Amino acid sequence: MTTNAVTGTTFEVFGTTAVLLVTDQRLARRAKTIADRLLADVDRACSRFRSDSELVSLNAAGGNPMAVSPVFADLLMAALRAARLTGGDVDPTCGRALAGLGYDRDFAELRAAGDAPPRLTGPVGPVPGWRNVHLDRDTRRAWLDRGAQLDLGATAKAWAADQGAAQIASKLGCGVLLSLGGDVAVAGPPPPDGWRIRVADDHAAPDWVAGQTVTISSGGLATSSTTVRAWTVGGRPVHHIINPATGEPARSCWRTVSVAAGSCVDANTASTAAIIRSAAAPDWLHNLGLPARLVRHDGTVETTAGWPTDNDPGDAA
Amino acid sequence: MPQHDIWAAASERDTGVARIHSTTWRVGAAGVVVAGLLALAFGHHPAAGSRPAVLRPSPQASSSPAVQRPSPAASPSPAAHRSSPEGILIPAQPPQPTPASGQVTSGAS
Repeated sequence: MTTNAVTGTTFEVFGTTAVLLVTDQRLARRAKTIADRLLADVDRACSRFRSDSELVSLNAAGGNPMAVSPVFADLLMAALRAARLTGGDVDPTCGRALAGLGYDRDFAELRAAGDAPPRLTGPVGPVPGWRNVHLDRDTRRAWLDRGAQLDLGATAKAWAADQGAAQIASKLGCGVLLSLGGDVAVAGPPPPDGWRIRVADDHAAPDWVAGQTVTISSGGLATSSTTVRAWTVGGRPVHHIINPATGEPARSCWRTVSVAAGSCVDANTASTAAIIRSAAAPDWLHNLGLPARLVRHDGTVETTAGWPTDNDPGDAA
Repeated sequence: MPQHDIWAAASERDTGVARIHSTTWRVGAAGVVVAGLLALAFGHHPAAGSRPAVLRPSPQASSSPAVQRPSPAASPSPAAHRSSPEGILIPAQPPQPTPASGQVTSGAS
């Protein structure tokens, strides 16, 4: 029996699909156990749709400091780091803006409900901003100013993918790929030819849908898109990537951006910021040295920093 | 106190101080040697590591006719050379093309 073949499992988590691959099939069950434990902790910490989550409690704390768990503190630090590194383009205080667009429940419920009624009246305006989010790392207490409401959707899944892959590789000594809704992190020794990742608008897209397949051996790869987590409010099409400057869904010349980075959370930070930065994104990614694939609404593609082009000889598409 | 007791006490004090002085020097010298050995054993130049670098310039662009941003020019922006751990981590190498099918799909969810 071969034991070093890549083997994997697919499961549901955070309202999306997760894929866990390991390079030693004997370790698959133990790897899943490690992942399950971490993902349960993350969900309990930062779900916007669980009344018992720490995030919901903090959003309802009225600005009062609240003791938080180590996992929540780490998630919050990751979100604040993303905001800092993008000049506030990836902002964790978009919770109220998203709720105002009707996205105040699990997305499957929102989609099933069809057209959502707007929850806010009047102009939305800029979000309160990440500088109104405070964390005392010594006492592990967090608080929010100016009515800020957290949503950690731009970083939490990717952070969990990084942590899950790293924990499994460290504890079991095998190569690991963990994809949480298309946010992909890898750790440990990769397969001989690397991990093969198809990039597309939708992580659930079938193979015949337009896309590109690439390999990575370390770090992470993430994709942000305005086409998937999208719905209508009063007949108006909206999506979940909020421009903090307006409090509205970002208007971007890109429908989808994929980025490879040293970690999944950094890849997702950059791909989300690229959607928001719109036409300025390629130069920003280029100057950071981040390989990226940007897809316009008409399907044409631009790449940066060594990302292979779609007609590269290595790709069959 | 008799005079000879004072001399004896002073002598013992001087002997003790000399012993402490000698011991301190020996411990200090041993510390320097151990630190040097540790540095030789575990020290690495940052450029020698295989971990993802931080905001290093990107590799050269391919010659593919498709639209592709070139690598940073000879005079890249200041951000391209930042080495602070606060930067976005770039990958050890860019994604590579493959004709094979994907094991997973990265897309929005």
